Amino acid sequence: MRSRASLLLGAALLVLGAPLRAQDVLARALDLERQGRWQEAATAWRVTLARDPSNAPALLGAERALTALGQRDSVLAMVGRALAVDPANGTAHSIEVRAARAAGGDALAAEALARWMEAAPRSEAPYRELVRALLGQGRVDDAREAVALARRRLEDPERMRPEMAQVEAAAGNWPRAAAEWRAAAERQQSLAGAAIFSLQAAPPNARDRLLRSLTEADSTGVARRLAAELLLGWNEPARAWTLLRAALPADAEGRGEALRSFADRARAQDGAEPQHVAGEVLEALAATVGPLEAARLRVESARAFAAAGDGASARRVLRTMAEDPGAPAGTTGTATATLVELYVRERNPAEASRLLERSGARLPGGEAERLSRLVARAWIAAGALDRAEQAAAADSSLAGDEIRGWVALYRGDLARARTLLRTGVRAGEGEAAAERAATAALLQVVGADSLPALGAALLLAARGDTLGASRALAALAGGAGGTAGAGAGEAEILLLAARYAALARDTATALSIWEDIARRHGESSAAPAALLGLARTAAQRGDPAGAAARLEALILTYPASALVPEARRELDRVRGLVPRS
Amino acid sequence: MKRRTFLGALAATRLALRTGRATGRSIGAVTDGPSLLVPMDDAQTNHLKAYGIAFHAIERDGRSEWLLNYRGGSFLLPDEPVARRAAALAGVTIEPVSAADVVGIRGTIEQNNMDALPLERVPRVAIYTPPNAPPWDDAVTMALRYAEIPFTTIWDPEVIGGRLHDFDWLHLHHEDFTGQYSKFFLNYAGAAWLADMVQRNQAAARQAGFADVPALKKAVAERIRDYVANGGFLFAMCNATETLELALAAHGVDIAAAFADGTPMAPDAESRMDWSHAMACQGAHLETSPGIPAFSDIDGHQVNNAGRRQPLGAYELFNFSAKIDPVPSMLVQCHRQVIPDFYGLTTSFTRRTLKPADIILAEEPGAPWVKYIHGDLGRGTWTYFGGHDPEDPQHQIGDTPTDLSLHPTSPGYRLILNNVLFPAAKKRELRT
Repeated sequence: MRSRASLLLGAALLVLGAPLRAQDVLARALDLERQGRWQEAATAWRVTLARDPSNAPALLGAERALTALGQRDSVLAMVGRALAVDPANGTAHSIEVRAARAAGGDALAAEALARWMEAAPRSEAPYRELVRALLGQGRVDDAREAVALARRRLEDPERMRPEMAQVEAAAGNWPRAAAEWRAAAERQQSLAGAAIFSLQAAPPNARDRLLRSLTEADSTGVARRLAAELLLGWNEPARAWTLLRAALPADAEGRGEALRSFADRARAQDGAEPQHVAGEVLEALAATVGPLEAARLRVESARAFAAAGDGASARRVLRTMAEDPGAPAGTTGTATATLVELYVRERNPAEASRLLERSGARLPGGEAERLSRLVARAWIAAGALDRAEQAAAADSSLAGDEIRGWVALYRGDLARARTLLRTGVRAGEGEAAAERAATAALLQVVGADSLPALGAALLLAARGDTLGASRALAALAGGAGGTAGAGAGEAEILLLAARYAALARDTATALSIWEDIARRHGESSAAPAALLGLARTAAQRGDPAGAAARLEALILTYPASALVPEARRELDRVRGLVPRS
Repeated sequence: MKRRTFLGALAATRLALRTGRATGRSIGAVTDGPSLLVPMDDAQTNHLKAYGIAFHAIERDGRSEWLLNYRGGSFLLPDEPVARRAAALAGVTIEPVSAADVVGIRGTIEQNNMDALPLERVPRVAIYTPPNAPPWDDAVTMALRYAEIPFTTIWDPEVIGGRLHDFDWLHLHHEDFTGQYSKFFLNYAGAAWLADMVQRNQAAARQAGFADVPALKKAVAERIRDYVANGGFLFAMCNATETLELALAAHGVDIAAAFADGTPMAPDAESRMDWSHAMACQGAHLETSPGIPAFSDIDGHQVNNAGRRQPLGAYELFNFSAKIDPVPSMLVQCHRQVIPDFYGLTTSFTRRTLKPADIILAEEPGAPWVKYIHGDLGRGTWTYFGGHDPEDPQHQIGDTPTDLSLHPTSPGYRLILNNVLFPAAKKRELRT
């Protein structure tokens, strides 16, 4: 049935052959291949080759389809027709070699190669095919001989440099491989990528000798840039940048390209050193381009410096841009926003506020509000609630309400905080949203409308003093029972105290509070969370049995708790049933 | 328990069960008193751990049943506190059922394409894996660990030393039985893991007195074939399937590249393959290039063969008659009929290379390949499942390991676990 269908298709293609464009036939054949309809694909390729016997894609397609059908040798007839039209056709010869190797092994392949060499006496292609095959079989010495033969026959010792480089690399002669690649790339710069790809695999103990052969006294810029790129790949960015800086191309385009590529690779690496180097490279690149591109590169450079922990360099770059009276508004706006973010990250809300007041008018509305909220949060973290409220005063959005909600909470005005944070829950996502939802849930359990002690304790946590927050919350819960006003929320406040103690690495306190919750507040929703905390601590301390006992108690005692799925996953982890993530 | 053991008991068991049903009492089955139904349809919240619950119930008192095609292939277990506790901890859904409920279930089973198979004794499970293999790189190891089903790991020295016969069930994963290190030798040259693999395999070959790794692996393949022929249950995935077939068919010819044994593949290797010695495949064409990590055209997807790589589709499980074909029925119990495909060094099996007696358990409709196959050899059976990891369709070397607690209802992993429980079934005569 299938063969009949393919015959019909072949006939249809022949009949319709004239109006169909060659590209359509090629596309159709490729589509048939993708569907695994090899017989029909082979027919389609045959049709193409009947019209154009030396069509390279069709020859390769026929080889694929016939190989899949187990009829690889059938391709030889098509190869013969292609070579009758074009005796030096490299694609046809290479297919012939492969088919010969598959059919009769090395002897037949050697005959096919000999025919190719005779038909194209000045071509490197047959020798390349030979070297590739020999390397594929691990016959490194034979591959070296093949390169030498090519050079003799082609009467040019400079030929086949990339092939010889691969031979040397396969033999572990890395300095010689580097020397071959150096010579090849100096003749043809587009080979630099291949050289880096090949030499990058050198083992650590061979790298210095390899680099020496690229940076000898008579080395060109091409070779030195190869060395720089290799060093960067081996995670030595500072050394690489020193080398590159002294070997940049003289022409502006080449220089820009080299810097851009180097900066991109450095930026993609983790760690302070590559990020700092990226900052330096981008700054150097900015000096070579027009004002708009330069502004973008300088912001990128500042971000790289900031990521490297070098705030001073980041600020230097950004301040120059933000304070440049002649710069376009977009440039100063971007620089201002990035600088404000940097000050916030450095916990310097005063400087961030000053900059925003001075230059905020030049920012688009939404951006100015976003930055104001960032500054407000920085003021909260500094404990200056009035300044935080003031920073967000002009922001009437839900996000602005959230800032006011946090300020109310830290002042102990739980009623106002309850309203504003509940409204704000609709905005934002991720960790901040989870924190907000947890706080809103706590406020629902703690019935009081005003509890300054709770606000003060939570403000300590917001300022980074989690140990102080833990102690204050524990004290508040201890004195609760109605007098302090926490009422029914005692277990939840204790749970928060334990969480902050754990964050402050005061494990003993955290454990003691969790045990207390499990013992005295077994009916509360905090109890399963306390058991989970106890289990995780036991697991971290190398006590999987203790952890498993806690988790089993959680699952069996509180089957309806929302923490049960997480407890089951944790139980799988402590038992080694799933990988640790 | 080898296949012959329950083959011998088949007629009597079926008769006894039928008699038991008629009188309201059953031999070797869970019928007296309240029971626990472990549903395996969408009501189940953790299908994978359900197999572990069933396994341990059988281990405790050997009175459990596999209700083929009933609510996704449910289990009926004795109602014991220990089973309830284990299910609660594992998050496995159970439904307590009375004796009257069980009678109703049996009536439904009797009237439909369903059957109740007694599960009597847990199989002794062996996983063939190198000693240094990370546990998270083999789907079966992961599934068994997650379901808490015990197993023993063995490798070449144990196989050559004759220990296979200590086990009822043997699993092979991505071992290359052609001895060519999955043909990663050229593409991953210099990688520490590859160097370690080469060194370990060469040491194993030397220790066992073989000239090279391909010779060792051929001998291991022969032992595995003997194991099946003598009544063992073999389950293989990924390229263990294809390379085992190639190694068996190549018992008299060199099909390994020069990097593996110092000599290139025999020029006439393909014509000298003895497919009568293979278990599942025939007439395959060999991949002759040592640089292409593919072995033959047994695999339909050719994931690492740039010119021939095929896209992933979905595979569909066959429906078998539970009462007439219980073995294939057991192997395809699942809560999904159509499942997304996943790559492996061997992803699928081309129809052209299958032997006529092979039973196709799952296929991609319209495609020239199938996914999941099964067959008999002598007194044992083999089952092949293409692909590496059902929940990591594009698996790459170095990928983050799959965490099955994030995939507790995985239909692909269920198929693996069907295989583990299948030797526990008291088997009736095959009519396939």
